[in-house]
Amino acid sequence: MIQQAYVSGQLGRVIYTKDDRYFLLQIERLEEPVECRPMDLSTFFNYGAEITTFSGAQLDLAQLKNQLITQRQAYRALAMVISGLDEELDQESRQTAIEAAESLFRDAPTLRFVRARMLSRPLPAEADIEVARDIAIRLEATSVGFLYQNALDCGQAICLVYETWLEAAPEYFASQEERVEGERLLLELGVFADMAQALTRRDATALSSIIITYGQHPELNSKLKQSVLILNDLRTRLSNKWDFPSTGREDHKRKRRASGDTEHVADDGDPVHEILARFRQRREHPRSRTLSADEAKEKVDHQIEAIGKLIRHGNIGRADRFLRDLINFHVEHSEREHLGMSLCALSKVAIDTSAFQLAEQMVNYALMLGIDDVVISNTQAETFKAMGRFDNALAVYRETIERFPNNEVARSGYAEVLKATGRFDDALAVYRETIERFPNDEVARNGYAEVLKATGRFDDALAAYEEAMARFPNNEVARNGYADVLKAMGRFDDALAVYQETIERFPNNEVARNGYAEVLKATGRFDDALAVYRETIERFPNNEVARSGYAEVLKATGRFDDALAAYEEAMARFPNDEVARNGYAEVLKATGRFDDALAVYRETIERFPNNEVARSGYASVLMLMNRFAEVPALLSGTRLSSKGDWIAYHIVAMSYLRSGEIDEAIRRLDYGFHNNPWITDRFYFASALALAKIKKRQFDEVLEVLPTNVTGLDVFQKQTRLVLVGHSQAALGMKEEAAETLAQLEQAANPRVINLKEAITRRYDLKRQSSASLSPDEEELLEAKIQEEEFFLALAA
Amino acid sequence: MINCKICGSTVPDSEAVCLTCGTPAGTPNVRSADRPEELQALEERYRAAYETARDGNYLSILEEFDKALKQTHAVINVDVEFLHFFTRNARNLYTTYERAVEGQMRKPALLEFDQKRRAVGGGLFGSYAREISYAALSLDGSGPQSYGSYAMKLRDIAIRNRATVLENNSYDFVQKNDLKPGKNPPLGYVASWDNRHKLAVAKLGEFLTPTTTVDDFPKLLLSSAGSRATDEFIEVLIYGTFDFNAIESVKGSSTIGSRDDRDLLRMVKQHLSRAGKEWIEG
Repeated sequence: MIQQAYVSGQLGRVIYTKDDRYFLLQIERLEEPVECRPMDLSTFFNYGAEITTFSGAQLDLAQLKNQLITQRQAYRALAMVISGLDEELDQESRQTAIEAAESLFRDAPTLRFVRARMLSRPLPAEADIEVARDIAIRLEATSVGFLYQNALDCGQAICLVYETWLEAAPEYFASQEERVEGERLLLELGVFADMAQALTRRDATALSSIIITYGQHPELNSKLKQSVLILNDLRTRLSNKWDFPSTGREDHKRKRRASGDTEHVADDGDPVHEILARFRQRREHPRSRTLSADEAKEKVDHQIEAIGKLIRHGNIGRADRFLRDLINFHVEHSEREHLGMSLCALSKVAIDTSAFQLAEQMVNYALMLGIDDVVISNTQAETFKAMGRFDNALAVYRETIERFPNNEVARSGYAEVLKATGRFDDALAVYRETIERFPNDEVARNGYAEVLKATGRFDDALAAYEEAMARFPNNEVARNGYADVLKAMGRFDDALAVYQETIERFPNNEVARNGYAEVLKATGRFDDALAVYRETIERFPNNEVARSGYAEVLKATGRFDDALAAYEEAMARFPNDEVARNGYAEVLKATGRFDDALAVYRETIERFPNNEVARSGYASVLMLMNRFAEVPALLSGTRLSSKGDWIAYHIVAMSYLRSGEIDEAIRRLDYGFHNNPWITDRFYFASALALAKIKKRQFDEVLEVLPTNVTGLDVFQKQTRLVLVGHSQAALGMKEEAAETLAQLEQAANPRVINLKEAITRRYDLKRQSSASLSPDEEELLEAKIQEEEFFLALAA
Repeated sequence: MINCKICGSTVPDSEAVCLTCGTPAGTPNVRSADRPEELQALEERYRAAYETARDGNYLSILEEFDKALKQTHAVINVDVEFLHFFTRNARNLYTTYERAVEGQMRKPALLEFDQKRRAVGGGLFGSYAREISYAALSLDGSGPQSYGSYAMKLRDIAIRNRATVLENNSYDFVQKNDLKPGKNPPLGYVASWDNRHKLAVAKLGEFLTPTTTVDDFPKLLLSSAGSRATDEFIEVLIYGTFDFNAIESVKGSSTIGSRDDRDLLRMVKQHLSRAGKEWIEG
């Protein structure tokens, strides 16, 4: 029995004790351990190589070999990445090193190991990193190039994290040994690297999320009991030292100050600033009285409509020019307050069409007018929210509520952001308070019910909507919300009935029509859904949701070319429609056109950097291309608060699954399954977790993770579940049950589901055709096919 | 035991410095090899070798051998992985990331191992066994191939005050002499660095013949056919460790190993060249 072992990835060697004798295992002779001589021991232990110690009853040679291979690969990649930086080496050697590292980075844990090191320590003066990065780019060694670029970008933050650690660490540990062990753990897990990246991105929320992400890490918890305290303290120290972007309120105040300082604002190059500054000095430039107030308003309305149209069609440059005309017109013929309202109205149009930069610009213009209007503050907060800058949005809303305590919009907006960041209890409290203070506020009541739905409290949500509908019988939003809860509960017929009634009562309610079609799709009535969407598109040609919904149904039924055409039309009509762009990329992905899908996602991310769906979609395509090593880097540091954050977390977990790190995948998926605050979204964690269990051959646990008798699943979720459950039952020898489960997929339209059903049936001989028994090769092929298809299915979920 | 030259306190045999005032006391292995009884036993074996050579009519060959042995050096054979690690380990660029956690190079978890390792060293080194680094005595820069294809030759100045030599490699020596804790090793089989030629003469004199030539000396001193069971050499025991600066040259072949190995070797050669160390193809 092996008693103790010492593994050195740097040296490619293991020394272990067995029956009180010492053996040496070398990477190049894994099958031939030799008994150690003293020289083996001194070369192993005496020259500063990093060594990991293992002991325990379960230790065996196979484990040690695996450890050696893994560690050696990680250290080799690290050495090669550093060699790329080494100007002592000639060009050929540096290229060789970078190519070798790139190749080793195909293994995700290797990349993580090297990233954790490289982003934890300040770059030594002799590191020739710019040249190294250029070599990597030239060689198309993207992962290595990306890492070098990260090390460059994060340089200042890395220094700060390191200095802060050195300063704080003596306070955390009783002894030097404990400090060394704690530092090693944090470094190897990538905590320091993540902190440096969060600082570099100036993302205070991501920095805070590190506490959540690592605070529940089993290894850290078991070996470093005070880990959460340490992470918290480090976060606080770093936040105090780092120049995070202002909360928005400070921006707001700065803008207000700037607006009073004509010379200053004229300096920043935007001629509108000068116009606005002059406008503030109204007494010096009195308003023209050539037009009456009504005439002026009519002209302004026309201009707003024209600009809005340009924004919707993505013609931002032209909209910007028209905007200047509008501002000039206001300066000439109206008051600052009117211009402020025009800017806010247009800002909302820009938000709706994802033209966030323009929205922010218009809000800033409004702020520069120096008028204290709640609408401007709310619009600013709304813009921040739309851009995903939730902390800024909350800060602005908080200040607005203080300054305008009777403003209902600010309160509901505030609650809405709390909800968007998963702070459901806080959101409910704010809504409750608002409802108490303003019993006639319909928005607050609907928002309250919406949060209840998100947390899975469906009965409470129904009750809240019922109360809202009773109080405001014409409130269409409440009716649609009510129907949506019914759908979430799996009461599809009731949902259809409510939508139908709403459509009859409010024939122009586009949301109800789309909701109705959604339920039809969820129940597998695809042709009916398509008909409703078609009708909606005809009646409301500018309804983007209906167009994407239509394309989505086409995709779900395997009509990929039609889906692509529908999305293309939507994108042509609404160039800023991110949903259509993402849907289009998804279809490309589903048809295996991965490069095209990546290109679309890349362009979407470039145009809409805050679009989390595009980022997650991009990552999922990389994963399907087996470039899973790039996935955590792309999505790492993501906070765990918004719905999108959890999707990203799911994708990263799937990348672990794809790369064969099943235990890590299970740990993450299990966490998501139990902790995703969007209860109704937990199903995708459940499906992926079940898939991971299947990979681990823990089939009995799949049946626990995926009960089939739950309500509220749509047809796709249900089919995914049936496939995974049927597979597990078959693997457990429960052939009759498996056949029954899979028989429920008779109506499936998804080609992937149909293929899977056939493959599982064949693999486990569920039709009991013993003559058709499979050879081991056939079995292996079928297993591989099933795994690949199931992965796709779970990812799509 | 000796007394400290400065404060007069007794310095334990296992310590390299006076525990009272910290004054260096010479390394324990060298002090042990220079004990009068050890020196006397070695001298007797050395003289006996000369007597035998005189009787066997190959005295002049032995004298030449003895003279050559004064030019021997310590070599450590390693594989390319270690060589790459050791040569890059000298530079801050690499250690910044590769030895990222200060104080991690010797782990507390090794204590248990050290105790057992001491038992292997047993009666040879007592409690300072953990401090010993091992090498082989070589005449031509080649070392025992069974430990690796590349021989790192150590600079004389880096080891001469802290190295001793042992008749065989300590593993074989312990087996051969059935050394167990508490049993003292035989006298005359260990020597300080300056007396290494005497130990080699005592060990190998009898293998010389009138037809032995200078070219035969290296193989006589260190015989290695790639198997640890048949390797035969005089072991060099160096108290403490050393760094890249202690290396004078590296000897090996550029054409062996995988492509990856050869890539690593190319980098190694560049590190050696930059540091003014010689690469010897062979």
